[in-house]
Amino acid sequence: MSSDISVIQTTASRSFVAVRFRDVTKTFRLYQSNKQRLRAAFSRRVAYKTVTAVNDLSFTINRGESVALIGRNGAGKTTALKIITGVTTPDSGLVEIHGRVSALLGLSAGFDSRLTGRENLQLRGRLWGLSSTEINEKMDAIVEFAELGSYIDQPIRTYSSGMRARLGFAFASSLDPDILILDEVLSVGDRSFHRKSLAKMKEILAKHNLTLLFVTHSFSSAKQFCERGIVIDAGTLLFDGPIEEAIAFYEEMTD
Amino acid sequence: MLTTLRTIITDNWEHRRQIGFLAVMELRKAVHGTWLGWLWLVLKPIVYVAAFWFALEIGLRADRQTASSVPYIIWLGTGIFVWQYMSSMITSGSNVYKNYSYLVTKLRFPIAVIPSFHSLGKLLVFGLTQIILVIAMLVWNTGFTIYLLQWPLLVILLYFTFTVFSLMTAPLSALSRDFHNALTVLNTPIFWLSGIIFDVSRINIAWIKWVLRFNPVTFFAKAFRGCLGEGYWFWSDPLFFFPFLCTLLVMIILALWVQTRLKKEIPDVI
Repeated sequence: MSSDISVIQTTASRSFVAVRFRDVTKTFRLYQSNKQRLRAAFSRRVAYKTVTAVNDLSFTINRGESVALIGRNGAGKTTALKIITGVTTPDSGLVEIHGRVSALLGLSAGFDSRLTGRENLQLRGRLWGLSSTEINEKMDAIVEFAELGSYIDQPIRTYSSGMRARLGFAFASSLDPDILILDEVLSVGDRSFHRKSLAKMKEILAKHNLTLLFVTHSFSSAKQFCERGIVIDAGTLLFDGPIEEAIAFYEEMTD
Repeated sequence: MLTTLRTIITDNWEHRRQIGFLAVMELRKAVHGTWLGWLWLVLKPIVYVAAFWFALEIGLRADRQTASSVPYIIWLGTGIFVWQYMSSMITSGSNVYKNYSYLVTKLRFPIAVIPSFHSLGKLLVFGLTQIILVIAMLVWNTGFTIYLLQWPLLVILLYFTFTVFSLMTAPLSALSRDFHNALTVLNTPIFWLSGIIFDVSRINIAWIKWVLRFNPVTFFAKAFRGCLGEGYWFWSDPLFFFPFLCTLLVMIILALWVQTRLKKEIPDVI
């Protein structure tokens, strides 16, 4: 495995480039069993198979762009977003991220299921670096946008996946991030929330020069506010261009 | 490993405010939806001490088998309260990456900080039990000695030791459920063998005495008893203190090695 890795993470929100991938590769090791995986922690001789999730991927996303990542399940979209978010590290290549990243990865939206919605917002706000006053100032608007009512004081484990997604989106979009990452999150909300989220996204995209990375299987949503599409398959970039052409390319590929 | 050490220290320093907040959240989670609320945090240790006191002092007359002059319930409570903290770190502290998977796989959060706030949350509960112990000492009129001054030092050492333990074991538990199950299974034997409910100084078999000197659980049970009743400084006997320091040093080296080796792999396997 190569050790040629560079991850450059800055908060320079004025940099023209928001995200740059150059020859980025990420592999996962699959062991025959848990026992083998534990043995591998102490010995390099344990056999394993390698799955390449992201394979020599290169692209540049400029500040203010809205980009949809399109691909089949398991194509490597989520892994690429996780690398940008910083929760996983690549095996090789150069990754540059300029600006603060707010991400909603998956349907659980990174909430602690044992805490209430309000406590989760306090916790996430603290982790983002907000003071309790700043969190409280945002709280009412988030609760209202997420349409949770008195559920905000119930544990997250009692929420439906739609409620979690609403809360996650309401929070992530309220932070004024430089880069917003949404992975399948809006696919579970009902139609009215979906419409509301799209309107909110358009609003923040226009107002804050936000860079948006969006993974969805809903092409109508992608077309509404993404001007660019990147098609990924087996971790490799197959197409990068205007959203209409990217969707056409993907549909042709999957036909 | 030095880079890992630097990263762990830097991450913990930069997140010191979040560590305090997350530790309090730990406690809130523990009492959520309960009628008695915060009382539950101390009820378990109190009931534990009461049950052992009844079985050992009333049933087995074990109070005659300690060299201590303090009432047996105080002697027992000192050991059991500190054990409750150590036990929770052996079981849940060794599994923090799985228990906080949302911090590992969904958010950008340094994984070296997770053991710190989990350990601090458990330590806050330990702090509550220490207040109960002080009240009990007042009720039994055992008096307080100058040796109480070492209490803050001991608490810091306790927190540090078991945070290192969590840093050392949590990556391995993330990789293998067998490893975590083994620790959970060992928890009970550790309790019975480490001198929580008996006085290790009365053991006559030399090699067992030596083994127990390297056991941090024995060290802390004995050291807190020295602080809160029996009256000695935990560093005063080199045969008691240096074996513990050796164990701690080995734990620090292993924790750094495990973190260096596995920290990139942890988000991929959870």
